[in-house]
Amino acid sequence: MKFLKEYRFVIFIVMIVTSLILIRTFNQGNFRYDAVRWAEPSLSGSNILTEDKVKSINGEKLIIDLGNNPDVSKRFRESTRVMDPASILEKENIRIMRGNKGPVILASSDISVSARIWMVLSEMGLKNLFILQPENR
Amino acid sequence: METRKTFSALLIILGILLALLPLSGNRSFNAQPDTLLPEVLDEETSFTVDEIAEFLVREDSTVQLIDLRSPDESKKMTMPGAVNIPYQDFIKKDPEIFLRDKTIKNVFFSNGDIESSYALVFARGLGYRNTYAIKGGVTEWIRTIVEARFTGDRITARENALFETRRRAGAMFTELNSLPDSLKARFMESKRFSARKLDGGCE
Repeated sequence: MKFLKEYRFVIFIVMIVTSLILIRTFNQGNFRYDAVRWAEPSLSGSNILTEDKVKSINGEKLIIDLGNNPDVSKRFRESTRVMDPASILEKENIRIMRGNKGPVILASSDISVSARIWMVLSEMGLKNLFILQPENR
Repeated sequence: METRKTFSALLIILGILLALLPLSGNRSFNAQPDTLLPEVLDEETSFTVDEIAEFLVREDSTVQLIDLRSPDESKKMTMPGAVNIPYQDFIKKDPEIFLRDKTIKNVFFSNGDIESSYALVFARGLGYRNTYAIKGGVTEWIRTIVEARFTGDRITARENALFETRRRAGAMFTELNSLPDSLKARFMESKRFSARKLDGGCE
């Protein structure tokens, strides 16, 4: 007890620093440290999946139809969810994506939209995140 | 004494944790996700190939094109005035090297839209707001600008101006890419030199 009294100021500082580190590290609504690390799958192109590859994935895959690709919902009926690109960061959408046990695949007829959203979500620490390659590419 | 030892051990563990955290500020996104997302989805962050053609024809010195393709692809064919920074280098190196000048618009392009879109988000996430991407990249440039053909019977003044810009930009592109590699750099330097002279600068 005497020790705690003697060092209360140091303990207080240590606790604040530790809490700040923990908040910054585990806050799911923020970007993570080390931008390069989270962008790495984009360097090799391993984050882009063809439709055949997506079809061959067994297990809990989640395809996010970014709203401007009417065929996606038809082709992958059982595992598709429509999300508006502008509201993809809403808590419920993030919860669904993080809660999915298998790969999360972003699909849009405009690949620049899925690529931009991929980079934002990856930098927030979402793993197992992919882009569906449009058919005409 | 025992409490002091425990406390010291905790401090050492905390120190090790801190040392292991990659705390380099300029390599982590400094924007907030909900402000960055609408920004990068905004049409304002993309230029059409026609807008780029106009910049080239006007020899606009406030625009810097950045070719994110591999050096081989870039050597084979690139846009007039573009600098080649392969996507991998762009991500791995300090972006300050490439995007230091805040007075110019840095415009990324790749073959399509993928790498340029990644680079746009990456750069803007790190705080470089003067970055843009060319919609459709080199593929769209060739289809719309280099292969521009007028097929109708009548042409409005507006269409004529657009077609003329496309023709001139396409001619610049063909002229540059028909040169041997050794002359390409000199060709672009001479273009910059004449642009500076027109701006009234002294050399």
